[in-house]
Amino acid sequence: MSETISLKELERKAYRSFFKDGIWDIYLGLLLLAMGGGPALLALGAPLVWAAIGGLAVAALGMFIFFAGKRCLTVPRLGTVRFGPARKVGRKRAVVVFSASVLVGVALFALSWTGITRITVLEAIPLPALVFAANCIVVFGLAAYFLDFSRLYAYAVLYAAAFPLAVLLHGPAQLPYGWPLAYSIASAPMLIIGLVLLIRFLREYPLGPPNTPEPCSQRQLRVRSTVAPGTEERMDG
Amino acid sequence: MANGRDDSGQRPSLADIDRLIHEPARFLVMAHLYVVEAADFLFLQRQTNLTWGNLSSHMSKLEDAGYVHVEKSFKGKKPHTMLRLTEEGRKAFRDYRDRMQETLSALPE
Repeated sequence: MSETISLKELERKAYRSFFKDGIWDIYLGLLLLAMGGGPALLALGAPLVWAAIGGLAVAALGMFIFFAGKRCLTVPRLGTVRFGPARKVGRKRAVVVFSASVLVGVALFALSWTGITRITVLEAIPLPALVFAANCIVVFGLAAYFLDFSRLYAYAVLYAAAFPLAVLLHGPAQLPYGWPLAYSIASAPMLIIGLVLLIRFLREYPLGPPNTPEPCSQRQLRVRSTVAPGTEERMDG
Repeated sequence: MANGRDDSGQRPSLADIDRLIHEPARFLVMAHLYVVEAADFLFLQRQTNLTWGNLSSHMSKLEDAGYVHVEKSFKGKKPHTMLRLTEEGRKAFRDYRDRMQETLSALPE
């Protein structure tokens, strides 16, 4: 059985190496920051449309960093791999969970027109804030499990804490920048961890020599494999 | 391979072990390819810490044996090579694992 276990660990190590770049962390941090971006602009006196555009811009920046980072930083350093069916199923389940959470968000927004936002818990936190927090815990917890990405458990707590904290800072604490402050506090650990991981990743996996040859044909492979060690250096020199 | 015996009912001997897989670097390559669907050269290099020349040498041996299939394509203008184990390669790796397990479990304490 030990062979089976170590093969599993081998696969897990290979799979988890794609989370070592910190790009997921930066993306999630920016996404959370985007949620506070709109209210921050509103607090600065910007019109509602511009506040919404500002929030969306930060979210778009997160998306751009995610896709560009994976494409330009991670893949050229770690290579490309297609994992087995179990990982594909996990990824699909995570997508379903995230999609469901968007639906919950839309439903909450729709319900806010019915006056549900006036219902408070402990006379301070509105019910939607608690539903949002619970939704974050469930969604991120499930996604962490399906994606085998353990840092997401901690991020679930940060996402869940952001909304109630913003309400508390803005309401009872009467801080004018309560919303952006709460979201900045919650997203800072993700952004810091992401940046530290990204720097470590770039140091650990430098780009190979640009002229590293790719095996183009079977014959080329054979020719290269029969070249004695050191011969290439002598030829170059 | 039921009960560690081959088709003729004999226990396999150490000499029957697939020497192509038995070499540590090739074993590492085979193990990595066994747990994924396909991977490119760079990924294998990163995971196994083998040099490019070493890896390509082992890869050509595994390809010659029919254990590895090489898919060539282009990503933009750059050539890109994906590698995956063939059915024969997967079977050979499973057989190797079973045989080693059987052989080593029979060792006295």
